Amino acid sequence: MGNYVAFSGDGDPYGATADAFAAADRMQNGDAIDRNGNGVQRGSREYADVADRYNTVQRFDEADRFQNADAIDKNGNAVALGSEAYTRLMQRYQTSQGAAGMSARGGGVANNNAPDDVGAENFGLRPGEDWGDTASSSMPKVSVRWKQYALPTLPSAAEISNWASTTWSDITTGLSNAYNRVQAWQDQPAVTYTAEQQAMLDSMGDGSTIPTDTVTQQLLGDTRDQLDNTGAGRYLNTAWEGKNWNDTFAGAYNAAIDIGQMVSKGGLNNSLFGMVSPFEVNIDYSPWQADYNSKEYGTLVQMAAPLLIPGVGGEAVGARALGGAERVVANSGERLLWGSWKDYSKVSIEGREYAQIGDRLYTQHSVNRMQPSGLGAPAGELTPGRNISPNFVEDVIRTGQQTHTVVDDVSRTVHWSGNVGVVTENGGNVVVTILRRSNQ
Amino acid sequence: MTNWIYPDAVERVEKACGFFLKEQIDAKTLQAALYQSEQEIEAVEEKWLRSLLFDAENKLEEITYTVSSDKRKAAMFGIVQQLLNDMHSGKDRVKTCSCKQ
Repeated sequence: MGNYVAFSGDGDPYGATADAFAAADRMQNGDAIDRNGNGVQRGSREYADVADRYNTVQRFDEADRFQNADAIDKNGNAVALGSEAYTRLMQRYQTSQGAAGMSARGGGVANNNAPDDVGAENFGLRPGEDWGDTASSSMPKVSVRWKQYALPTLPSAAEISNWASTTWSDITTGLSNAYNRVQAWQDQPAVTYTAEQQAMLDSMGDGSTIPTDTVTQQLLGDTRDQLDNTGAGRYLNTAWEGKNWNDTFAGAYNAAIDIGQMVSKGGLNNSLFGMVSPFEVNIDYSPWQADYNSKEYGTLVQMAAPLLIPGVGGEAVGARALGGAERVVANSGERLLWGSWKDYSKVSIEGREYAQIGDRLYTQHSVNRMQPSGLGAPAGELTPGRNISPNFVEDVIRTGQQTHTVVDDVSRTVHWSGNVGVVTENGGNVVVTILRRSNQ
Repeated sequence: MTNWIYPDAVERVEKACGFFLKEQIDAKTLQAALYQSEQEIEAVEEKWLRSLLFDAENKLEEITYTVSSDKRKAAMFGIVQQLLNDMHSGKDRVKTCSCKQ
């Protein structure tokens, strides 16, 4: 036995009994000590039992810290609400959420402490700051503005994960892409294209022959798998697999509408609206209208595509689907009102009443068919509308593939562009109904 | 008996198609039934079914406005019959194939 300092009940180490010495010896020579004070050798069954009990106690301790803590720091220690450490933690959390999600508000929603500008720095913007116009003779006029929204009702984390998680990456990817794209525009001298951009322009033409690996696919990356088949993602395939820009637009557009509907369904309009709409995007297509099929137009649409991918586009179209705040979505100059039958002025021809939308007449059925589905079934219809705006119909009529038919002595034309079809008569002047199709 | 994830939605479609083929309901009512069922189907596993219903409903709409009245019924019956066939052959394919739809 060595020279051990043991202890005894009376506090006199030198008065320790032989048993105390023996116990100290076990402790110093054992890999572990069991509950009876006996040494346990590593590798034995007893050692495993002791280790398991130890770990269990540790887990209880840890759980106890979690359950009683307002937050947990990186070392697993509890942090109390209101403490300086808590504030630092919250800032890190919001920053990481903002950076990862590129969502001005999305990350901070689990708490109500987020200042209004949380995340804005990630975009290089401050609330109210305007990137301004980037107009030039050959570049589209684009303005992006940071928007502020109140968050009157904060959704719980559970609510978000229940009905928005599948679209979250989409939303944030859209924002991220939009930001990067717009940033790139600003950094680029007007008129001058890089060799890569020039090559892209040359290969793109008017967008009608997009290679399989489209820009949209590159932009969306792996978010497609996460979104596929759910919510907004169900229309994303169209954008993803679009072989022309109209298809790409159609997919993104409808996905965006889906987001709008989810916002409505979730009953958290204001909250989610605030989260998904930190930008107001305005794209003026008018300079390009003169040569609609030009190479430049194709390029413009390509540039606009990420803005219309759910996220930025989602909030814009979603807002309109909800009849919400004024938004601007990419359009070809004139913005056609997207409303219900009662919203349009009427024209009577041979006893039939039509809605006047832009330069065309729409039957009541076609107006009902276009209406945002979130508004429910219009009067006289058994089902809600199919979420196609008049601007989109206009685009399909102008650019879609046409087939002609005669129906009971009436000549009609079916225009298809992507997954949207429009049936017209009288040379396209009268819109009869709206059709959709899947990509299957 | 095939197991569907959304048996009510499928039953509604089958009944509506049956009524339509017996000319007990009109195309508009059938379209509403297809639309309602399509909206209820959310599972990835039955995405193909949702697409079938979606396309069938729109095909009926297209026929309504692009096919002359004397040929309309036959065209619609063809769509409905095809839908029923595709529904069950699609389900069988899913049952015997582990590949993704």
